[in-house]
Amino acid sequence: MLTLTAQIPRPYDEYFALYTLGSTGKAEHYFPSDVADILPNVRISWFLSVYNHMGTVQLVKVVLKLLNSTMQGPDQLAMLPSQRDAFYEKTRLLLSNETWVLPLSWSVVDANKSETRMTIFSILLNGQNLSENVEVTASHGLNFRIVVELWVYDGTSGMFEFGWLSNGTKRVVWNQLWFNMTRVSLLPY
Amino acid sequence: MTQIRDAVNASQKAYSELQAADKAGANITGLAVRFNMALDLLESAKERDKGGDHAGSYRLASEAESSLLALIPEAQSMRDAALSQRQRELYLTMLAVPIEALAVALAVVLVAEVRSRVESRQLRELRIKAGTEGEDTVEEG
Repeated sequence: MLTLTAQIPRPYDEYFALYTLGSTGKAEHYFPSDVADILPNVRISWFLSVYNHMGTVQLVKVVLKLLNSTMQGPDQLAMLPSQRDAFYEKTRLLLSNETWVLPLSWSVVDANKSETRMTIFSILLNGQNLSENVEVTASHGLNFRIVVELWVYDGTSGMFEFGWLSNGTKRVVWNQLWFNMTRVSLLPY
Repeated sequence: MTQIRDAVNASQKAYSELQAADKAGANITGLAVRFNMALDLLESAKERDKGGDHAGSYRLASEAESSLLALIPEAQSMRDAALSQRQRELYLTMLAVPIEALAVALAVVLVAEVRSRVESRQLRELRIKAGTEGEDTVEEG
């Protein structure tokens, strides 16, 4: 009977976990000196983690988008991603029960401040200078945000899709980190 | 770029085979590492393409595609081996269940038999003891 019992599959909750940690690998110190008002060319270090609890190997993609406070972010209720295009993507095959840690070292390398607006033009991320889909303007340089979305490859459609199906139910996961950039140098205007 | 598209297609085919092998119970850890290395090559190819280095992009995308295509037959053979193993385990299970049931039944019968014998012996000893005590009583009388 033991043999038979061992053959019966147990109920399995299928999910992914996505979380972003600060420079110490904990949920703290996301910005230098813990001040979210950043400066250009100041390196910021985060650790992005994805955990696969789907029970099988999965092909996933983390998608980073730069938004201001008025741009539409992902819609948790409608389970839709942000309509903004990604400035960075990274694909990875994840084994069952595997946690993938992606270090992100980034800084704003090109920004322009006008009277009441701050525009970011390019970002240096993990050694790559990225300007495509980066340009975004925020009033007084307040409330920029980096949105991280998890997209999962769907073998049926042959495409990456925002979220996944868990026992027939659609689920999505995303997070975002807010920051300000009110100055382009240490000198006050 | 065609070569990048070919490599992306190869990654989708390879992933499909890896997932099938994984679902069959094969250990695909080694293949997953190689798959991710190929993905890194593919991403480098895309970066080079954006940067205008089309020759470098072509070379990297070709390398990624070759690596990914090489994974397909390996994943298939691992899947087949895992399915055969699973089939053997299923037969063993089918064999083991009645054997286990028989073993449990035999154990129960054996325990009952031993217990019955012990009880019989204890009863016999009590009767002998009672008989001896009766004789003693008669002698005293």
